[in-house]
Amino acid sequence: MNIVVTIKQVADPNIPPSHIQLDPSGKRIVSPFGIPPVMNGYDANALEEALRLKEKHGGKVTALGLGDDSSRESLKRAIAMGADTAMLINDPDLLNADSAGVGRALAAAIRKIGSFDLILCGRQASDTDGGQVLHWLAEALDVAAVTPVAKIESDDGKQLTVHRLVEEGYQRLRVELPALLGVSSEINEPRFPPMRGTMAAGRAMIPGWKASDLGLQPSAAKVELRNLQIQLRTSKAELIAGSSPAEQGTALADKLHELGFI
Amino acid sequence: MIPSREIFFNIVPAGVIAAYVLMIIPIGLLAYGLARRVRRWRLGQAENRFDQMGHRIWNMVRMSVLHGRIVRTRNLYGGIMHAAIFTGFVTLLIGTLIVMVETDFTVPLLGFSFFHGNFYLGFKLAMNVGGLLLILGTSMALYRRLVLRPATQQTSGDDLLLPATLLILAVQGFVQQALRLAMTQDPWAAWSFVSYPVALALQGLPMDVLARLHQLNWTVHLVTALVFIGYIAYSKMIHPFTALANVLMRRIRPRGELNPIPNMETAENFGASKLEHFSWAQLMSVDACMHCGRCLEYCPTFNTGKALRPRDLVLEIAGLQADRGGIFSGVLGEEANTGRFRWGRGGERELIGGAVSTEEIWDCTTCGACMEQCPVFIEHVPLIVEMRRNLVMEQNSFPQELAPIFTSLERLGNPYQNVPAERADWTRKLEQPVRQMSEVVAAGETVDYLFFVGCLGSFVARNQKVTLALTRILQNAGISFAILGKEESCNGDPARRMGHEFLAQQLAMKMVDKMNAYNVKKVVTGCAHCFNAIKNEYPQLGGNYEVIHHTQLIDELIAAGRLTLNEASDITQEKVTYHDPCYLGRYNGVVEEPRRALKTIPIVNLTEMPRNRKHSFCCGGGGGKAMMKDQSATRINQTRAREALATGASVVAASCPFCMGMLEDGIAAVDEKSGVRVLDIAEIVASSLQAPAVTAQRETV
Ligand code: SF4
Ligand code: SF4
Repeated sequence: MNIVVTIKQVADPNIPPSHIQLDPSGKRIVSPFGIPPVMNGYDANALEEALRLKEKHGGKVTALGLGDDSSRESLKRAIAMGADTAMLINDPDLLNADSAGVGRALAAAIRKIGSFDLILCGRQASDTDGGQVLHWLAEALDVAAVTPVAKIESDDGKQLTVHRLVEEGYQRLRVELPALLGVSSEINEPRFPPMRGTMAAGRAMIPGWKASDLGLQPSAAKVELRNLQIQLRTSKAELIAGSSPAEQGTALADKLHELGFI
Repeated sequence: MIPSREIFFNIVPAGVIAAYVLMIIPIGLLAYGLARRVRRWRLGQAENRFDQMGHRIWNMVRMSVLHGRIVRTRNLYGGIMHAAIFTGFVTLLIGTLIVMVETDFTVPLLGFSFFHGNFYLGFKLAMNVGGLLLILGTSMALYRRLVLRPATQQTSGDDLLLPATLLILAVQGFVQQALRLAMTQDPWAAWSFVSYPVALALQGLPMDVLARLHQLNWTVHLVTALVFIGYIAYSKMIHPFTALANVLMRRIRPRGELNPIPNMETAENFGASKLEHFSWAQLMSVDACMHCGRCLEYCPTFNTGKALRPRDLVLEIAGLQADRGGIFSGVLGEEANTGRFRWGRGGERELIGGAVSTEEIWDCTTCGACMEQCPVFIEHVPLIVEMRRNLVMEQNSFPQELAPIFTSLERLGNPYQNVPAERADWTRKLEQPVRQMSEVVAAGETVDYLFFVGCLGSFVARNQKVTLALTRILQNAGISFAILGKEESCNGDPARRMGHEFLAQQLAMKMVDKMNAYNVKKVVTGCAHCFNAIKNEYPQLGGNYEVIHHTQLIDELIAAGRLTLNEASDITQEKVTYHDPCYLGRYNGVVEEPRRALKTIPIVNLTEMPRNRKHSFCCGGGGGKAMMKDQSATRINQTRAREALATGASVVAASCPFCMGMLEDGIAAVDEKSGVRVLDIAEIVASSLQAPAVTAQRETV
């Protein structure tokens, strides 16, 4: 089974809010001192699932990213975890593309990579939480897209039965391959990259592709990101007083009522 | 008449010849057994242990003949027992050889005899003393194995068989002498002060009965001796050979230094999952174990009932080797030598998961108490770390709580996901600023010391207080120093002891590069682990500095009169007990400086826990264990906390941030209301400092 996993490099979502910084254009999160960017968490789940499918069926796992040259770090981590190869679309003109543009670029790259049975994406990226790209990608490749997927229940190499998260439960869906799945974190726990993998990743060459390599025509973005803002949330605690549990309960209920929670 | 006796008295010539011929068999067995062991050791990896031969030989003599480590105040029974058996056995062996030299060499070949006169009388006396010592020592051994039965000893066949055989041999020897004395009416009999009374008792028997008994006892004694010699190489009686070899070939690097893996990029294998992955010297070392159980005495995992027992770990590795021994393996001897007696050859087993469980491998706190205790210098921690290296780097298998720790160390340079930019935030609480190395160097200046703060001291609120106290002391004493600030990261020790050598080398290399770039000469650390790593392991990576632990520096400063201590403090006249960090006391011998510093503080009334100094009991936090979950019923830190509380001290003095955390948790769990505080020596000293002169000055300006 040949699987392509899309990998986005994002600022570490665990950066304490007080340390989050924006670049001067206000459109991009920059990683603060000493906290390097990471592979998007859902993408790590997608990669893990791809590696498990490969361990079962054989085949090849290709990691595909779009970003500036520093994004190679996340693709190296993908190789460290077990991906066979990785490519990076690092055309500066594509860095500010909208979801549709990114989807099209990824699709073009996947066509260049060759045949595939399955595309696994993270359900969304933790920096923008858009969850759009995978739909544009499926559209451009003309395959079915299912997202967010919490479990691959069975697979026979031709069809997959997956659990798609819906409010208060999940749907069981059967999908014909080739297909695209948007993977959610419920699906697995990404592995710790083995040492041998990390060492191999250090030596791995990751080709960079430009729009011209992919035969892409420049097209104007339909959605424009104006700017980002850091909202610092503060929280405070209040102790509910009362001489007995019953009294405290009543006081709590009053308070919640007053605040409009009940 | 010149005192002497007839050699082979009352023995027919055929008997004498038979004795010489039969001797070939056990000596052959001994040689074969030894050769086989040597062959097995040679399967190990290369390691140079042939340097400093003079020092090695002297050390071997000190540790064997002179009983350097065997007799210790904390191991008197076993020490005296061994000294008695050793002296008795060696005396009798030399005596036997002397007789052989006389009969088979000097008389027939040189026509010269020396076995008479005063020499002969002295010989008789010495042999009686030797025999008596052997009886004493072996009886002590049997008494301990059968009656005292200390918890640290698990008795297998050999442990009884060997002392019993030696005891029988000694008794047979005395009987033999008594019978001869009774028959010959030897005029110098009284020199044999043990056999003589026996001879007097036997005198009443008819001469032919005496002669028969004499011949019978001679034969039985001969057979016993030959069987014993033949059995040596297949039992723990091999230890005179293996222990001597191991003491001679022991690693003479600082004990706190782990061997690095050179050329990680090209290494074919990391760590040990098979016997062949250990070095030849490590394979040899496990064959030196004679089940004394001393390594268990201060072992935190043994004493809290965990899976790891260092003795069994060693014996299991030895047993795995014995399993491959060829035709004799699995017979009584070598299998019994594993301490887990079983008949027949052991089945094919893996090293990890077979002979040694992963649980055992991850249990170890690397506290080094076993190595400090082992009389034959077996090094357990490097064996364990080799297996951890294999688990982590080859099998990607480790306790799951370590994954975020490794990731954090790799990405952020600290174990607990702290923000690297906040590493020097503790300095904001200081009245007087601390300089950063980068500023010092940029200004073209130098400082005497780099203060290597460490991760816990930088980020953990409790340990930051210690860092602040130490900084105030340094400032108060007018020490010129700077910190690396945001450029500091973990020194690599936890990763290294958790088996992630690759990560450890990356982290250490980064620090060495930084420190060398800043031309650092002297380093003071606030943590026993940073101290050990930078002092003993950084030279491997080209980082050579004079490294001093903060307790040593404080001691120096007090002695030099550079700190003026107050009487008044918030811990007025308190009973203080000091907990030695393993990586400071045991590994680096820094035990007196912290105590001296504490004793000079007027308000401190120092009291000791039963286990102290080099025989301290681990807090449970070393070797990455502070980062792993201790799921077992008895926690190591609580065991130590109980010991500290039992002294009645109101303050437990610490000098390592890991110990501090472990002890605070331990005390809270054992007795929440005790009110006993854990304070670093730096805090105790800082709270006793007279108002810092510099600050006072600044305020008046
Ligand atoms: S290093 Fe400490 S914990 Fe590990 S086996 Fe030795 S004594 Fe036990
Ligand atoms: S390893 Fe050393 S201390 Fe432990 S039982 Fe063996 S010889 Fe004794």
